[in-house]
Amino acid sequence: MTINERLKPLALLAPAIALEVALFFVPVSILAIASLTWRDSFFFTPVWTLSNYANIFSNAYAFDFEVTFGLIISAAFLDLILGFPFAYIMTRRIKKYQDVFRAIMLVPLFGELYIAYGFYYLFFPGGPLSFLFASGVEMFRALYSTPAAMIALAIYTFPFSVYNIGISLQGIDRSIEESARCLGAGSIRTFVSVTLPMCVPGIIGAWLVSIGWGLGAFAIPTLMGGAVVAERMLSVEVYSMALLRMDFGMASAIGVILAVIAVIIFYISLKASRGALV
Amino acid sequence: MRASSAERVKDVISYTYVLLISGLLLLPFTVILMRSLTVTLPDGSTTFSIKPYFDIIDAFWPKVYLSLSIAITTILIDTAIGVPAAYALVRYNFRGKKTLFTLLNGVWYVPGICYALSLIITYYFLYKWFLGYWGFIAAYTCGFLLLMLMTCIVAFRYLDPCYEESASCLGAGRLTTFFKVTLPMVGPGVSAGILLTFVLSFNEFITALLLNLATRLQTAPVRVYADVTRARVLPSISAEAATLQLISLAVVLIYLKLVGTKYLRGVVLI
Amino acid sequence: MTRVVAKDISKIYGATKAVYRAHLEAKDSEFVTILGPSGCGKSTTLRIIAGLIRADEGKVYFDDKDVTDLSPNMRNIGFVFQRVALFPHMNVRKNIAFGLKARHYSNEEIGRKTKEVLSIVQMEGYENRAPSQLSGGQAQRIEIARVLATDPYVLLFDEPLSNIDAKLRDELKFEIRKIQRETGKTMIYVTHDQGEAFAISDRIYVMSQGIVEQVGTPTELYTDPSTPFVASFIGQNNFVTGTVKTSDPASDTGTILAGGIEIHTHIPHEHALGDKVTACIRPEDIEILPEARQGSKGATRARIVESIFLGNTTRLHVDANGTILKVDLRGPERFSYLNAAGKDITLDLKKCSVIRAE
Repeated sequence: MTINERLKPLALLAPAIALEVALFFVPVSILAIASLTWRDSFFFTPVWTLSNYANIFSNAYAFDFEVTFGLIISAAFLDLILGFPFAYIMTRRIKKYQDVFRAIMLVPLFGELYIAYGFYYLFFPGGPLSFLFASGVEMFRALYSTPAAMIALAIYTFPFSVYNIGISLQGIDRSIEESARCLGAGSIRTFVSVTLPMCVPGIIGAWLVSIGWGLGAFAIPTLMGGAVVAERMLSVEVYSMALLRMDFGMASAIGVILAVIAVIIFYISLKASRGALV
Repeated sequence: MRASSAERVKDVISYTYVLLISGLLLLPFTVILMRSLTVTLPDGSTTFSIKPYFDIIDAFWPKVYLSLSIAITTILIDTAIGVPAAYALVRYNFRGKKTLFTLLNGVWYVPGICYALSLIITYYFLYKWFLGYWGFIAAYTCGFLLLMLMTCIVAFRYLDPCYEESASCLGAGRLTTFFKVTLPMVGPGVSAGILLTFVLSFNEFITALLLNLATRLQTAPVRVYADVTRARVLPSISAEAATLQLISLAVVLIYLKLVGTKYLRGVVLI
Repeated sequence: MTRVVAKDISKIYGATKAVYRAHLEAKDSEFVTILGPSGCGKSTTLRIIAGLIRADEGKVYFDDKDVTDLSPNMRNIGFVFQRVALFPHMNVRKNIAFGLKARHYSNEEIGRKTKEVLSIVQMEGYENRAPSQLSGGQAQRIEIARVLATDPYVLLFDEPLSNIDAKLRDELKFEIRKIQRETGKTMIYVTHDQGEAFAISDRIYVMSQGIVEQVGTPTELYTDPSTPFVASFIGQNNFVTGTVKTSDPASDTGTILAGGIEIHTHIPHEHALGDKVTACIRPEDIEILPEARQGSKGATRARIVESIFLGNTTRLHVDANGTILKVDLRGPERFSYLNAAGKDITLDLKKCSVIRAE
C-alpha cells in the first residue's frame, strides 16, 4: 500500500481519535492519578498515597460492595426472568404491532431519572402505593426501598438485556429446531435441549450487560434506595465523597475501581455473545 | 382444529405478557404524567388540571432550551466526526483496527459517574477554559460519539460496495461519490444514531449534575433532580419531568413515523 | 474501439493465489469472455482491468497507454455488476445522467445521450421510473444504458445475467451481443456458464484456480482442449489414459493402448512413442458402427451396461474391455437403443483429442 492509501483512513479517523484521547483517555488517566493522592491534595500539592485503595480493599468497604452488587445482580436476574420470555415472544411470536412494542422498549432509555422519580412517587409515604408499606410489618418498612430499587433498576437495564437475548435468539438457525421436532422431540423438549443451550452465551451476555449498566445507575439509588442503599451504593459514594466530603482521592479511587470492573464485565459480555461488529 | 386453538391460546398468553411488561416499563412515566395533571384544591380534593405545566414556564423552560441546544450541538459535532470515522472503519483495512475499535468502545462502558468525575477534575486542573457551555459540549460529544459511531458502522456495513464502485467506474471522484451516492444511501441509518444521541443527551443527568457545580449551568434534568430533592413530589415538579419525557417521546414518535424502526435494529432494538 | 492488454497479472491474498501470471488480450471491438468455475479468478482479473483492485504484479494497457496506476474513474470504462447497481435514490434519468455529469457534459448533451442509449437498449420512455419499479431484466438493460452513455473505451461485464431468470437470460445475452456489435466497443465478459460464453464470444479465456488454462475460439476449445481441466469443463468427455503404442509422423496418426482398448486417432507431434497420454473422447463423438463396418480398423467391441433416455439424447453406459464409456446418441438413432442393456455393440473411437496425462 502506498503512503497515501494508508493515510486516508487515518485522516478520516483523526478527529474521532483526537476527541477521545483529549476528552476521555486524558481525563481518565488524571482520575487514576488523582486516586493516588490524599483527599483534595491533588489540586494543591499532591500527597501521594495508596491508602485510598487500601481502604477500599479493606473490610470498611466490604458492606458497600455487598450492597451494590447485591442490588445490581438481583436486578440482573430479574431482567433475565422477565426479559427472556419477552425477547422470545418478540422474536418468535409477535408479528403485528411489533413496531409499537419496539418503541415502548425505547422508553426506559429516556433516563434513569424518570424511572427513579416515578417509583419514588409511587412508594414514598403519601404516594399511591405507600399503603403497602404502612402495614406495620417491620420487615416491610426496613426493606421497602430495596425491592423497589431493584425493580426500578431492572426496568432501567431491561432494554439492554432484552437486546442481547434477542440477538442471540435471532441467530439461532430454526432448521436445527425443526430437525429436532422431526426426530420426535416435543416442543418443550426441543426448547430445553436445543434452543436454550444455544442461547446460553446470549443469556450470559445479557446478565453481564445488566450488571454493567447497573453499575452506572445513580438516580435510582439516590432517590429510591432509602438510607442504606443510597449511602452505600458505590456510584453514589463517588459523588458524595467528591462533592460532599471533598475527598477527591477516595472518590477517584472508587471511580477507578468501578470503571475497571465495568469495563471488564462489558468486555466479557461482548465475548460471551460474540458481538463483534467491526 | 385443536392446533389452531392451541395457537390462539399461545397468542393470547404472548400478547398479555408483552402488554404486562410494557405496562411495567411505562409505569414510571405514566405515574409522573398523572401526577403532573392533578392539583390539590384548598379543600383537600384533587382534580384534573394542566395548570402545573404553566406554572413552570418561567423557571423551567429556559432550562429546556439549554438542554435542547446542548443536545443539538452535540449531534452536529458527533455526526461530523462520526460519519467519516465509521466510513474509515468499515471500508478500509489497516493494522490495529480491532484494537482501535475496542478502545473507542471503552468510553461507553465506563460508568457515567466515574467519567463525570474525571472530567471535572480535569477541567479544574487542565482545561480551565472548558468551564461553561463548551465544557458541556466537549463532555457530551466525547461521551456519545460511540453511539453515533456504532449506528453509522451498521449503516455502512449494509451498504453494498457495488454502488460506490459503480459510481467510480462511471467517472465520479471520491468526493462526488461520497456526497451523491454514499451519503444519501446511508442517511437513514445515520438518522437512527441522531435520534438516539438526541434522546440520551437531552435527558442526560449524571454528567450534567457534576458539571452543574463546575460550570454553574443547570440543564433541565438536573433542575428536575434538584427540585425533587428539595420539594418532593409536587405536581409542578412532575410537570417538569413530564415535559422532558413528552418532548423525548414526541421526537421518537415523529422519527418512527418518518423512518420506522428499520435502522434501530442492530444497534438497540431486536 | 480500444485494445486491452492485461500483462502477467498476479493477485495474491495471503497464501491464496487469486490470479497468477494471467495474460489477457482483447483486440479492437472484440468480444472476449473469461470463463471458469467460481473462485477461478475471473472476477478478480476483470476488476484489476477496471482498476477496482490493484494487482500485485503486472500491468494493464489500454491501446498502449499504461493505465495500471489509474483509479477506475480515470479509465473511462463501462462496468456492469452481477447485482444491479442502479442508485435506488435516483430515477432512471438521473442514473444515466450521473456519469455524464461527472464528466461535465452540458444539460443538452445529457438529454440527447439519454435518449440515445435508452433507444439502444429498447427502454424508451422509462426516464422517470424508479429502480424499484423495474423488473430484473429491465434494470439490467438500464444498467447497460447507463454505462454506454459515457462512451467508454471498453465494456467490462461481470456475470451480469447470473441473477436473471433462465428464459430472460437467453434473450438478454443475445441483446448484449447485438449492442456490442452495433456500438463496436471492445468487451470483456465474465461468466461461469459455458453455454452463454459459447453463444456470444469471439474468443474465450478459460481460467481455473487463478491460471489461464487455454484461450481460443469456441470451436477451438471444444475440439482441441489442451489441458485436462478444459477438456472436462467444456462439454462432456470420456477420459482414457494410456500410452502411445504406435505412431506415424508422416500422417500424425497412431494408436494408443489404454485400459484394454486400442484407439486409432490423430496424435500431435509432441507425444512420442511410449509417452503417457490421456485421450478425451466426447460422448457425442462416439459412433456406433453398423454391421457392415464392424470389422474396420479401430473398431472397439463393447457391451451396453445401462441405457438412459433423456429426451433429446439417449445416454448409454458401455463397458469396453473393462473401461466404462459414456455414449450419447442424438437424432432418430436414439430410439433404437432404449432398452438395450446387455446388448453388444461396436464403437468407433477415432474422434478424440489427445493431451498429456497428468
